[in-house]
Amino acid sequence: MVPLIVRRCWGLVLVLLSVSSVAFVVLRFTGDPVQMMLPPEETTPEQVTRLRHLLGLDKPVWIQYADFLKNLATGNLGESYRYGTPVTPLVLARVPATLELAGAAIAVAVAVGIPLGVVSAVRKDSALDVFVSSVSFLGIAVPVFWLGPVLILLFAVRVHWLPTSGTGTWQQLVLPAVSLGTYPLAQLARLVRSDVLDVLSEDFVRTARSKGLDERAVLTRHVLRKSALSIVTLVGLNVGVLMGGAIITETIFAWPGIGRLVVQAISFRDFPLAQGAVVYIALMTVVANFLVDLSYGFLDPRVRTT
Amino acid sequence: MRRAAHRFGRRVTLRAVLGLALVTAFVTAAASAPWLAPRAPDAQDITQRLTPPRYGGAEASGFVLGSDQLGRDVLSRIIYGARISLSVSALATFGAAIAGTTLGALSGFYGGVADQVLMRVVDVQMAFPYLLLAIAFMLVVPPSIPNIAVVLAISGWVLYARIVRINTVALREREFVAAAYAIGAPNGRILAGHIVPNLVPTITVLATTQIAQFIVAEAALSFLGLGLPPSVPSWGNLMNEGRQYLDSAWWLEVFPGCAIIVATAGVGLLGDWLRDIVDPHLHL
Repeated sequence: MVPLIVRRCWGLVLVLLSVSSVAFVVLRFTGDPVQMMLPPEETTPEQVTRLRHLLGLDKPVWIQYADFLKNLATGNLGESYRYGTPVTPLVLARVPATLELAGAAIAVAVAVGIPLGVVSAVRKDSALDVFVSSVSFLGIAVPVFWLGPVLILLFAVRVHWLPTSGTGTWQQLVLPAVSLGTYPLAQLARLVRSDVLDVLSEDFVRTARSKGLDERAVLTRHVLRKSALSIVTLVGLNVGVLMGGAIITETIFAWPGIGRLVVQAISFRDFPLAQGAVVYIALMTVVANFLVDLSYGFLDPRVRTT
Repeated sequence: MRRAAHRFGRRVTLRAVLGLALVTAFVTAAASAPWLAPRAPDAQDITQRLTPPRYGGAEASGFVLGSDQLGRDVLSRIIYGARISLSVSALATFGAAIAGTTLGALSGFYGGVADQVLMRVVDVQMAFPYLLLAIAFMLVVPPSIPNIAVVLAISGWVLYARIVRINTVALREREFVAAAYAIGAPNGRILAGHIVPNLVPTITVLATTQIAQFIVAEAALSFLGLGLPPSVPSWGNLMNEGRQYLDSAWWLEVFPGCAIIVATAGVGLLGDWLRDIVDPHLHL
């Protein structure tokens, strides 16, 4: 276990270093932050030069990059051009909202997707199965930026059951979580259905049934336990997708998370803030995948030795 | 070959037929847009602004799916939009498949330092939300159909590189490759003539999945205001305009979205079917 963790930490450092370098390089191509910050009509060239010097943008790019890496090594992500305050607290303030949204979306997906998949497999080829399969198929095809506005239209504009946007209460969490959770929900339902169908024909299931276990116990203790690995893998893979989807969901529902922060930072050419936010997004993705890998050991004893 | 044909015939399911029918319908609609669309996509009629959808009857306005804020026909714009959305995603998928396959096959076949470097690049890009990469690139290049296709291809090539590489490594050890070496075939011919042809089915399956993703991604970029210029009737742009009228004219948002959903679902059905034929255990 310990060597695995050490190896993973080293990998994490490499990924963060590369991701932040990619962000650094790509952002430098997106334009000049100084022109975004100063109104072009009322600005003298001296002011432009001074601001550029103040932000350190007059140095050669490779020196800027060296400075950036030096600061990164000490955990200093610099100061936001737009807010003039250190990046780390700005980003950290947004992390809980994103985790809350992603967590709620995963909860919706797991709580609805797994039972749907099981029911669909147990009653294979019934009307219910056809219905669940079609719905989960559509769930994969529905883009978040369509589902979000349509849900707002139905549940917030037509009937005033839920608020259109904002954060703080559970009512405000429902629509964003459902919008973001639909895709993983549909994927889970499909995966669980095909997994359960495979497992139901195995010998140990017949044994469990023949020793008189009732069907519910067979499903939860034997069948689902075997597909736990693939369920966890799928949820882990979805963390990256959720982070991407969160960018759009947060924009639709005015959710104060890291996704909206990064979009705003990129369009304002706020290089340090955008870099910092990207580093944290990558960090969350990598840590989530690491937790998934660790959980394999608990779910399947055969994985523990490797 | 006969076995493949047999499997092919037996596996033709209702879902596959439905998928094929949907895809054919969309491609045909896109190809014959000038003949099929009731009006020109940019023909305005200010007197008929925001007409709700009406079907037949005395009140029929001629706008089957309603009209937008400038009195343009939503149905015609969706049909013309199919041209843009489908060609952007097809171009991008083609580019990503060519680039990813080439790099993945070379990397898996020759191994060595280049292989290690490529795999690290793939790892990094997997940890980087592709939408962010696309957003950043779209700020650099002017929005046009080829540019969007290139940006999407850049964010999508890793999918092929990873899977093609693994498969190449496995194929390299097979007897027919050893046999090709034995009769003196050079590396290039073994790679192009023996290994890559065996990967074509897998690549096709990946490409089908990706076309659907790219249809959505193009619209996502429009949603964020980074897609094609607003005058171009891509599905994403139609939805983006429609969202401002969500309250008063729901059809502007809902119908282009339905086009995206039905198109991606059709491609998805087709992709599932292809995967079942080629390799039921392929995990993406």
